Amino acid sequence: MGTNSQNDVSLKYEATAAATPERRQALLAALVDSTDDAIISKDLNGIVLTWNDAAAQIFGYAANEIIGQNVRCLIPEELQHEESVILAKIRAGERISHYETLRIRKNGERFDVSITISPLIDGNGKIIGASKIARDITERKKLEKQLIQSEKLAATGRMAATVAHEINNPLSSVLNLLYLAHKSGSLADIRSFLTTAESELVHVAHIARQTLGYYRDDGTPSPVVLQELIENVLAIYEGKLTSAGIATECQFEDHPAHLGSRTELQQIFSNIVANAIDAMPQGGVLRIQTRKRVHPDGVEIQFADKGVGIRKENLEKLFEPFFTTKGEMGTGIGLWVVKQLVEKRRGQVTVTSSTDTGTSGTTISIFLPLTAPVEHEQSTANCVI
Amino acid sequence: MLEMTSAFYLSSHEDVLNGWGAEAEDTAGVSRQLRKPTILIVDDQHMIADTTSMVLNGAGFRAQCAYGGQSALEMALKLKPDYLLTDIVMPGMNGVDLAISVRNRLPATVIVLISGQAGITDLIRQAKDVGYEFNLLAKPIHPEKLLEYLKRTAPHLWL
Repeated sequence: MGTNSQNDVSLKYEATAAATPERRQALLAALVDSTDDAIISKDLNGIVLTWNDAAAQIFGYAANEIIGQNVRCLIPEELQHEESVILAKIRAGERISHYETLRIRKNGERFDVSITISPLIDGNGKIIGASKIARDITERKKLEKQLIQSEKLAATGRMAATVAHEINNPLSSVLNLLYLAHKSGSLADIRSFLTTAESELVHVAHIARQTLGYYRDDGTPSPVVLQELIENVLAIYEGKLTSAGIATECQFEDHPAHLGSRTELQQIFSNIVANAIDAMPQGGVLRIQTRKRVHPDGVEIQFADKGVGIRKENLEKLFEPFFTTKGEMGTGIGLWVVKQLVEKRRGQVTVTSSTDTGTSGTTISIFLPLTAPVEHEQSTANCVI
Repeated sequence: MLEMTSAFYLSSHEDVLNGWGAEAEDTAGVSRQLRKPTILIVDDQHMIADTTSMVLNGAGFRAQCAYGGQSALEMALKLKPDYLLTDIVMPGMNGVDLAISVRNRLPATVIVLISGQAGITDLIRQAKDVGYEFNLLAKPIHPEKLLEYLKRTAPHLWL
């Protein structure tokens, strides 16, 4: 059991069967040891005081190996500053909830964790340390990556259908024009057929180039001019937009290039545009705006449609994985991926919508901070919750 | 999408596009088999509709084109073409709905659907579910293959 009477942990459990303080403590200790999450307590200097079975399992250190050591040995070198920030918050009586970061196991392996840290308060109300719950989220992260990857394939498939249309039509014309040139006896006519065929092929080449760029997965950040990227996405969906009778209105404010992955940003915008198209089967207008923002510095991109709107009960589930209103046609992960990718660059996604006839429509706003921080970078002084 | 700026080639073929009117005198009193088979071509992509018209007009057909389902239906009812060749995905009335309407009103018209998009098989299946079977070709199709297909599908028009 090993609970020191000095550390009266004020965990707010209901001890249902426990009558005496000793039984209550025994019950709590058993609870602590039965969970899959690491539960660790430390003093205000970061020295490990208690270490449950799950902690031993997850981090690889036995309790007697680590109690008395500084918890910093669990933190990767470039993230050491996190511990200073955490202790400062604890001393101020603050709590940190579900903060996702990296830690190191005894064997040196780094892994993803989600940690929740609360101040430890003694019987006199004084903060004497911190209690930390750490969940190994390696599996969850792996699953999320797979989901994003599969959604990307699905999105690629959707794009492929659009692209096929964009390419098949000009090619039909080209076949006809070349046939006509073949059969014609007039040199002037032949020339005009060939010229027209040539322009059609140039257009095809343009579409092919754009979409090939989408498949290639580099993910390495590069300066991206958002306006140009959005226009590219609109060009790819041009056929679909026209045949659905949707006009686009763009208002782009000047802003510096955004440092990020072109393919990921394209995926974000592509998913939103595709949704807007689905929302307006009878046609309409899609308004796109980019605006510079300060404090924090960044760009806000807004997509506003006058489509059918999203019902209130669906709005809450909008970003959940596998939630879709499109029956078999929907994958349910388009917007979930948008959220993942936006939050990956510490941005924000907000949706407002109305289903009232006459004023229905949905607006999706994306805020991207100016420089997408590389995950877990050193300079952030604030361990954001 | 490329604007059809190549009006120059079109104007020299206006009479070819309006193939129907030009030799109307020939058809008076002549039995069906001796006049050129008539075809209505429907595609919202003007370039495709117009070039296909030109191809067919030069190959023994009398072709006219429409750029949308609704206008195509109106034209078809007036002109009662031997063939209807229509794209599927079009704004407004789509090709399958057009085909069903034409099949109902002009049962003798040979209907051929042509599409550049995967995924329209749903529309075809829906039509099949309510008892309509339509020929379906995939874009892009070589003009000679199209000609061969059209002749093969209605040989009685080519005796």
